[in-house]
Amino acid sequence: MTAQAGKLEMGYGLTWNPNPPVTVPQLVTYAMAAGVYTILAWVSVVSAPIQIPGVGALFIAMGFGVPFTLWFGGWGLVIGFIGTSIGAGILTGLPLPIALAFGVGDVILFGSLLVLYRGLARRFGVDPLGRDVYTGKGFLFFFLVAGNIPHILGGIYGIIVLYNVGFIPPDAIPVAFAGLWLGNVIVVTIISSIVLRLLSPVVERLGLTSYGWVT
Amino acid sequence: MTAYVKLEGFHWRYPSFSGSEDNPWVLNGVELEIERNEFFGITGPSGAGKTTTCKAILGIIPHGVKIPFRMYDHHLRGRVWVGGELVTGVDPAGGVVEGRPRGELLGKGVTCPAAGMVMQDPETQFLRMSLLHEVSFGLQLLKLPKPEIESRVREALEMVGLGFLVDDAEYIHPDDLSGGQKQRVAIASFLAMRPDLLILDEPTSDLDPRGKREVIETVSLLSRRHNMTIVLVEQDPEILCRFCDRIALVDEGRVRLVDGAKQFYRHVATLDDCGVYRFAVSRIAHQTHLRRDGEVPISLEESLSCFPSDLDFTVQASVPQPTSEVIVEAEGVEFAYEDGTQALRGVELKVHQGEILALLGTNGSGKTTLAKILNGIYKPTGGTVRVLGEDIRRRRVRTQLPRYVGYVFQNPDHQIFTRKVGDEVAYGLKNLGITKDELDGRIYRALQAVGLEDKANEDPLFLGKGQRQRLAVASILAMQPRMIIVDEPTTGQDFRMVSSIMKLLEELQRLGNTVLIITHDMTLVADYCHRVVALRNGRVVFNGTPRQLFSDEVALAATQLCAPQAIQLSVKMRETNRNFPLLANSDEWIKALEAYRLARPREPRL
Repeated sequence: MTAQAGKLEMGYGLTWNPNPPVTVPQLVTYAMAAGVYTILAWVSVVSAPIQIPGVGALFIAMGFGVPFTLWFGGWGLVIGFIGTSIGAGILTGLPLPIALAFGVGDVILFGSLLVLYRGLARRFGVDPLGRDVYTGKGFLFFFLVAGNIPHILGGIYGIIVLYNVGFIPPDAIPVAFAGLWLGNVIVVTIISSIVLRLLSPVVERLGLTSYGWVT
Repeated sequence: MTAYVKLEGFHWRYPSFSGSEDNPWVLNGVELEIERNEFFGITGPSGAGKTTTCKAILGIIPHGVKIPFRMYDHHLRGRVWVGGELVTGVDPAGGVVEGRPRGELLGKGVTCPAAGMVMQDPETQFLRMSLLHEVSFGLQLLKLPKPEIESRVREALEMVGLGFLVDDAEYIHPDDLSGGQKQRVAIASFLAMRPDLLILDEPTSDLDPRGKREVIETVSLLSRRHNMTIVLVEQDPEILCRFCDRIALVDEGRVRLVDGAKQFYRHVATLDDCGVYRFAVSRIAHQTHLRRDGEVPISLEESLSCFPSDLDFTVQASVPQPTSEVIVEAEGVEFAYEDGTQALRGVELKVHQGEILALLGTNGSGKTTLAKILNGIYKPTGGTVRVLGEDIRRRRVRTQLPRYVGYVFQNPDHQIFTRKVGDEVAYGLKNLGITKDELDGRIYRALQAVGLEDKANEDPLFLGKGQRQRLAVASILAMQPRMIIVDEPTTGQDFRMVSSIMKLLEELQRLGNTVLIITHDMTLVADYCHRVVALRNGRVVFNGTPRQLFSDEVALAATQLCAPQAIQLSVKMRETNRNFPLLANSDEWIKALEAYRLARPREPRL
């Protein structure tokens, strides 16, 4: 095995900046991803509104946010923060502080996703970019680590925000939490798995993936 | 150092971002020097490293490419200078990480106004929403005053033959232009900036021969006027020889030969070995051992003095006759696009079973529109078209047409949609109900014919444009439709690959299938086609054999086409010897000269 291949096979992890610099094509890709996420976040909220302001029945954007994070590392957190703050917050008429608080929710969600997936993938022998999502072991890992745990954490944070700004009464907390969590589980299980299976090899071969948080 | 552009032992391999295999070296020690104000040509077979060399000159490689973990010494060796400035280099002792030097990247890329590059595919460099803004974009980045920008945009569009679009340039989207017009716009965008060094990477492959010559002539004039250095990557020997001071042959990542333009094409054996285009007369002379002052001729004038002028009609080849069965009959066909553009104005056409028919014409003459009607993609707005006896104005007939009429798009990206090369070929075959046993064999044979048999599992996204074009051809060839329409199948391909594709089409034709080729390559027409239909402004202006077209000055003027060199030589010979046969292509010439030699074994000139 050659020196370069050996370095690549060290693989995806949680080091800060192992593969500098960030290139112009990478920055353009991140900007486009942020644009896509913003539009999808806005569409998710306005196309299927529920009684809670800034929240839609199914947050379709999450289906793309998960692959963005697995591919782009910490940039996925930035994409999630921008997309949700603007798309699900400012563009739907929420005040700026609440919109930013919504954005922080995605940082928590995608941050926990990145730490768990990158941290555990090698240990469980699954692909860190989710190319094996349609194998038995790959799907189980993906379903638990990408489809559930981060959304429980994100859901808890989201409910705290919604309750504190007065968008939901105390007796609606369990239902709202279940709605946020299960909605994301459905979207991620269907959309993210397809996106990862189809596009992970292409994104990687184009040199757009991050091996650590930044590069 | 006196050279304006200098590459010294330049090696490059593209990074592989996945898997444990490294990519092979694409450039294997390129040594090249180009003088200031020189018009320098580069030619070579497909995949030889021509485009990569051009990108290395500008520093797009390596400065615009992500090198994994900054392992520069693993991907790059040698140095590149432009105008005395170091564009790229590697200090092998630098970049020490964990006690191991990985090389430190030196220099930085060059951009306009120092240098610019027109890419092979113009769509890859369009950024703006209108023609005006596209051509003026670079000028705005150079922060030129508005009147200067307006005057340069007007001048550049006029120079590339698009002056008639200047007034509406603000409202025309680049996507609405034809393939040839897009190439002209891409060239105009850089001409307007007047860079010191302009690299043109097969920039006119979609233009008709006259258009191509006009555009390169304009570039040549402008380069002299503004002291520009030009690097032209091209396959056409006539263009290279006419405009270039020197030409380099790039093969397998190395510069194999550099010589003055005329002398370059006398290295016939080397060119033959690499499978690149040569002059027809050189090929004929090389194979029949004809020499002029010890060298192979490259021009008509040189050939006239060393080719025998006393051949007679007995050596003229006969043309295979198609069957009398008419499979396509078009009467008074008209077609207008939604914006009102009248593309076809009463086209009359008959296509016979088992013939190879060339559909010729200048850019915008209506060739592609007619082909898309014959395939059922467009519905004619007037007249009647019957394919295999069925009137294609009926929707049911049009939807069934692709089963019998295969169409290879001019732009392969309009056709390819699967994520695997093998799947792309298999898709149509599966739709035809081909059994699994037969499927693999047909896929392999089709890919083998276009030199892609080792890429069956590759993603088409990672193929070069020429390879994607061949894949598009293979996916239709594999289906063996009764009639196959190929729209510019050989653009940007080297001679060897063109021969391979055409031999496969000939094989289909011999099996009784009909082939309709849209092309600007007149040599291909003379070599392979039985009949020619030429369009101009949406009307048929010529219908006959290639021999009739290329030997008739009036027909050539009416169609605005140019005759290939081999038949031009026959016509010239006939000016002095009326009995001289009208030899249409190199093969006919070679056969005739061999027959002549057998008849005159002691002929001193042979």
